Amino acid sequence: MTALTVRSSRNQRLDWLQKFVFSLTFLATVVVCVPVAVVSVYVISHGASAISWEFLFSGPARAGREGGFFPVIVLTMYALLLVMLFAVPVGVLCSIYLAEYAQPGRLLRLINLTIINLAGVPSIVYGLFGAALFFDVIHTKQALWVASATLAMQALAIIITSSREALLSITPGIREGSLALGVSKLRTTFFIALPEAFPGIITGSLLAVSRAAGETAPILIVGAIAATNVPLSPAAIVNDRPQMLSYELYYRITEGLGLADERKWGLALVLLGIVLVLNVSALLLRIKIQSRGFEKRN
Amino acid sequence: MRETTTPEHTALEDGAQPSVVSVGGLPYQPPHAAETAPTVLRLENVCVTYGGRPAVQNVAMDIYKNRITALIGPSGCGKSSLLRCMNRMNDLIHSARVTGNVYLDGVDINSDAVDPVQVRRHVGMVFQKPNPFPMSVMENVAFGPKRQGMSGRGRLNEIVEKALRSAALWDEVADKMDQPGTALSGGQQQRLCIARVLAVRPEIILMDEPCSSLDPVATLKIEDLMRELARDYTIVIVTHNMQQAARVSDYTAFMLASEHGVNGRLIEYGATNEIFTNPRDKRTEDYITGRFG
Amino acid sequence: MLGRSVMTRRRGALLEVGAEWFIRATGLLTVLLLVSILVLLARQGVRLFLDLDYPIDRFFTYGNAITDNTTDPNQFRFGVMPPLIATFWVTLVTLIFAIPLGLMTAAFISEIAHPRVRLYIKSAAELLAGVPTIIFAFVGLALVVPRVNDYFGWGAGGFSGLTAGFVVSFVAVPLIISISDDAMQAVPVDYKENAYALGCNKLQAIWCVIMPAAISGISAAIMLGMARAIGETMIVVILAGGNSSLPHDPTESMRPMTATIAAGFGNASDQSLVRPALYMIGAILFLLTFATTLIADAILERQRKRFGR
Ligand SMILES: Nc1ncnc2c1ncn2[C@@H]1O[C@H](COP(=O)(O)OP(=O)(O)OP(=O)(O)O)[C@@H](O)[C@H]1O
Ligand SMILES: [Mg+2]
Repeated sequence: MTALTVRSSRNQRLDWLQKFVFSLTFLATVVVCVPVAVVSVYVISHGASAISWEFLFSGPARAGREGGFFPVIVLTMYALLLVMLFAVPVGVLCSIYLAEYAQPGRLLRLINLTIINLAGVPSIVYGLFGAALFFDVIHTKQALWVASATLAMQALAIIITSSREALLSITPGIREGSLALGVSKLRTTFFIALPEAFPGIITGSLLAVSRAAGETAPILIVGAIAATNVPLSPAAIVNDRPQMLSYELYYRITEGLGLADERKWGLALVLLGIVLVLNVSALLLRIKIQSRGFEKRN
Repeated sequence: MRETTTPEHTALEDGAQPSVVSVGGLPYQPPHAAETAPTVLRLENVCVTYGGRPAVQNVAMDIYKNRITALIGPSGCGKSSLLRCMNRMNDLIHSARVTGNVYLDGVDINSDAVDPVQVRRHVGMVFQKPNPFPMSVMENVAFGPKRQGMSGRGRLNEIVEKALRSAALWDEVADKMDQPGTALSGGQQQRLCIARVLAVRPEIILMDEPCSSLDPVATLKIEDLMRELARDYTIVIVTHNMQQAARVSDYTAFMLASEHGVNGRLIEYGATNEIFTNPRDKRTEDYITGRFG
Repeated sequence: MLGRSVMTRRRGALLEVGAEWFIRATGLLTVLLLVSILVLLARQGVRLFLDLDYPIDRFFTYGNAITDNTTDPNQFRFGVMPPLIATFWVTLVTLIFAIPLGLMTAAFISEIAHPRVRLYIKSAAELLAGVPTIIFAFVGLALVVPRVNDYFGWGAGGFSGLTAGFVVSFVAVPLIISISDDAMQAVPVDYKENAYALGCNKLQAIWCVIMPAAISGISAAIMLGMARAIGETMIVVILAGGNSSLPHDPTESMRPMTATIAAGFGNASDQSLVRPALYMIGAILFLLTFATTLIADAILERQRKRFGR
């Protein structure tokens, strides 16, 4: 009887150790979460005062020290749209191949491994590749679309991975249901599988684009320049060198002779805002999909 | 079109019975000497393997027009595999290999010249678990016709209504046409899936345990429906429920697995009342009377 | 006739066959992309030795990596060692911070905390992973650099490999958390129950049973975190100090491989030796992360086999 109630000193030591270690892990968790708060609070508190109508909706004056960053913001949007346009169709088609057509075997394993590796290639290497491909092989001039294409190559892996998961996780049985009606595989894919996987594909695309919005290194390599006033017609995509918020921020940070600090933080805030809006909508969409999947199973 | 692979079955005239083929060790006998219904699907020497492991072996049988044929047998004996040979659904399983001939009205559907998609338009399939598409009831039924190029709201409405009526579902869903098909009850979902197949007007409907996820009332409804449908369609059904086979089917085929390491043999095939009252094989009798392992 | 009609062509069947081949081709496009990245980088890089006569041994031994625009191979003072060592230091510092933080957090959310907490923390980690690294660099510049300078006086005014590595660890941590959490979740429940049945307390169960069982996933997580640190650019460009000579310890100002490329590429003239040299660095960088990712995947594959998922 007593043996169960009396705790040995060894057990007591173990309990203390456990308490200690668990507190440590809790502390680590807090430390990991703190930067999310610190970064957002710091950027907002330092940058909010710079945000004004003029900052967002007028062009730069005196080399960006006055006026606003409207052209950069618009061109960033152009670039991101273009990234979507380049990467989503290719990525989705590739995921269709992987989820619907590819047969298990060596080739599939090779392609899966390739995609994992594409996701792991450093962004600056994509930049170098873009520069080599577009300037030295195809001989195009530096332009916004080149930056977008480079970012799109990087986005491909994320889009493929998430679309493939979305396609693989649709309700089993409905594909067969369609095929048994004498509907071809291709049509089944486009009319049954893709609509089902659509939210998942959007989630992946949003994540990929938000990554692209924050990427600085590749566009640095393919010739980004600091904010200037350019005509904002879509022709800027082929006519003008890339201007993007992320590069603008980098340029302002390293410029040496300073822009007022709050204007830099203002830029950081706009960039963070864009990225977080994309990220959070992807996150919410995914949580919604997961809860829908939960209902489906019950 | 390649001449060499023309799947024409020259030896077979309409209504003629094939020469004696061994079935499960017994000489093959047409199930019903007095049967007048024409053969619509003829299986000869059909084998299925999954990654080399046999699941169906040397099955030969005829499916008769406007009759209901039931496939019975213990779990894993290859009923589903055999059923899926009849509309080339096994094509979709990478490890599956089908050999032998399946003649649909005289043409071997396993030949290269045949498009499996076309086969499935003539031989539809209903699955064990109701699998309505994640769309409205209307769209579910209209899906097949639309993919075959039919259009026009009025025409589609007509087809959908007809299919739903034939599936004995119209009265229950007439006011729910825009609700998702997944929101119906299990039995309604299964009838929706049947209506979906009817809408593409196949000749043959394959059903793989269509009632096994339904309650008894829904099951009875589907059985009534099957009898109704047999006027216009040929039906092949896989079932675990002996009473169901006895109640609805005209013909019954009994399959057995793991018989001395041999999977998926057709043991006995004949008119349902004969199989159930006077089986010729001891193993059939054991299975039917529930004395089976 | 019924039998005949199954042999007729469907409308648009040929078009569909074409479309299906197109889809297959996009699948192969990924392989093409990966291969052409390596081939193109290497092709641009080896020009340094073949066309521009830069001595290959000097490239591998020279103790500095100066990216000034010279067209004379004898004037060019550029070796791969300093950036490589700098990358090593930054990665090492990153891992020293990120491994304990990441693993402890993963253990906490996976085994100790309420499942709901796990969802929140994972979402937070995902947001953290989504923040552009240029913003991390900027916040690090404002918050970390002055403190490093004031308290330790390391590097050039607080800019050092250590500063950069510290900030990079917050980029690597979410990855480590996510993958090792998955690995720990994959450990079958009966492992834990067996441990408890043997009289272990929770800590012992985690340390002696779950962690060892999840070790492949955890090591893969660390490898992938490492690949992330090796490839991180903006933080090291801004925070590592930028000294191009060979760093002897992580507290020095240094310029890792990524930063060398980022800093040198824009200003390089077309004829100079700088760009080929930077492409060469890029190819090496590619191979480094490629190898790391491959190893990580092989380890993960082993884990998948083991627990059948
Ligand atoms: N996709 C598959 N891959 C590999 N083996 C399979 C596959 N489908 C079925 N089999 C095997 O083929 C054999 C026959 O299976 P089948 O599904 O045809 O049996 P069944 O008679 O329909 O059984 P049940 O009554 O349980 O549905 C079984 O041994 C099964 O394990
Ligand atoms: Mg079955």
